[in-house]
Amino acid sequence: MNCSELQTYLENGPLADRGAWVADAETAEHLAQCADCSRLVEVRERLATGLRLIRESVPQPSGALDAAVLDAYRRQTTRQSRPQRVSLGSSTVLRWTAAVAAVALIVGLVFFSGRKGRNTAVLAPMSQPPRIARPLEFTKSVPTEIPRSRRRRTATVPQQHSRPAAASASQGTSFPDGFSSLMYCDSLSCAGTMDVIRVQMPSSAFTLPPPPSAQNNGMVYADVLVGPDGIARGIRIVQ
Amino acid sequence: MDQLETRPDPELLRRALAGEEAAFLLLYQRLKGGIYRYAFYMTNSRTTAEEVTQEVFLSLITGARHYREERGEVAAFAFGIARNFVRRIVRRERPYQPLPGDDAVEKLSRALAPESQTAHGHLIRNELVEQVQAAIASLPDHYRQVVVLCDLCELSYTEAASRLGCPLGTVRSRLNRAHALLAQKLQPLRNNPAEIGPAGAEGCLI
Repeated sequence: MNCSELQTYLENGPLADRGAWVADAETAEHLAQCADCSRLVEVRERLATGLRLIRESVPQPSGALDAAVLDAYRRQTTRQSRPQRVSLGSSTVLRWTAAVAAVALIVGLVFFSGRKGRNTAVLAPMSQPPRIARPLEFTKSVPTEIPRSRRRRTATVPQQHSRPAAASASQGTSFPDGFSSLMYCDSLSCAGTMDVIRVQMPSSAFTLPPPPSAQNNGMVYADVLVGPDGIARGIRIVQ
Repeated sequence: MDQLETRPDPELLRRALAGEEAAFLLLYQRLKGGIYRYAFYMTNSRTTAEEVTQEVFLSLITGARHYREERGEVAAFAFGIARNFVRRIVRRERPYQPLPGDDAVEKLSRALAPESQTAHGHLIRNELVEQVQAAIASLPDHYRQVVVLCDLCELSYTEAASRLGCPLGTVRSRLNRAHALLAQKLQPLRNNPAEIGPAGAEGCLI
């Protein structure tokens, strides 16, 4: 055996006491002749001895460690069996409550914002100035064929609700009985609800001779059909 | 009570989690020694080793949901926790650890002298232990791990590979390399006694 073989064996083999080396005659002979290899073996032998002594010198854990670990285990199991279940449940409920509240908040915002927009749409036409017969003298609205409740409703929300009878009558080119057309009227131009407003006007406004209902001062009463755009569609002399 | 002693570690862990104290105690007795010795060898402190052991078992109970039986043994899982704790402690206390210096070399050289030449054999043995521990502590971490596991905790290569999560060949090669480094650290001491002794005595002015 030469130095290289011995060093390879030392590097790849396990740490062992000197007895393991000396047991092999060939190795023992080489170690006796080679000081370097002998020193190398001695160092590794010392290392093996030191490791063995360290293994033997490890202190035992104290009894307090066992007590502390057992105490920690008991505390942990007690905590797991009691409050953690409650906290788990409460946290779940808390999460669901927060989610429901968030959804409700979003729905409420959407609902109220939509409602607010609708209210402005309703109020807008009401805030407009009186749109009919401004130069004329108002008397009072007289429902003709329109029921009273229906008429009031159409007056506030003219285009978004069902049309009254007058409106449906005006969709064609014909008007209700007695009304004369003041403008071209078809289903497009006369769409929407109409109001009937009674006005007092001078009889001279008519090209025809004054009707028998004309008063002494030359004034007559007339019912005017007014469209949603404020333009008069038809007129009827009140007899 | 059915025979808990024959039950495997994963079942003991499950039963311990369910509140069965006897199962926990048996699992503790099985794993305590290895974890404590590993922590002691890595830190050279009995107090720290006990602290690590206690923390490991507490973490084993609180963090048992992370354990997957198909990934390995409970012992390997607990060892992983212990290794993390030890690393944390070593990192925390590193600034306060003295570096091995010439004084340590001198002590080890005296320790390596033949016992027949000294009347303090027991003291020398203790010093030898201290110096080999210092040499191990000066190794890089991945070498120190295999030395502690294979040489001190006396785990097989297979068990050490399982604990460290690396191949068997890696464990063998690291261990050989670690032995070579340790021998290298101890080698200069062989020539020192003759030089250190007279020089120390002659150089002393008082």
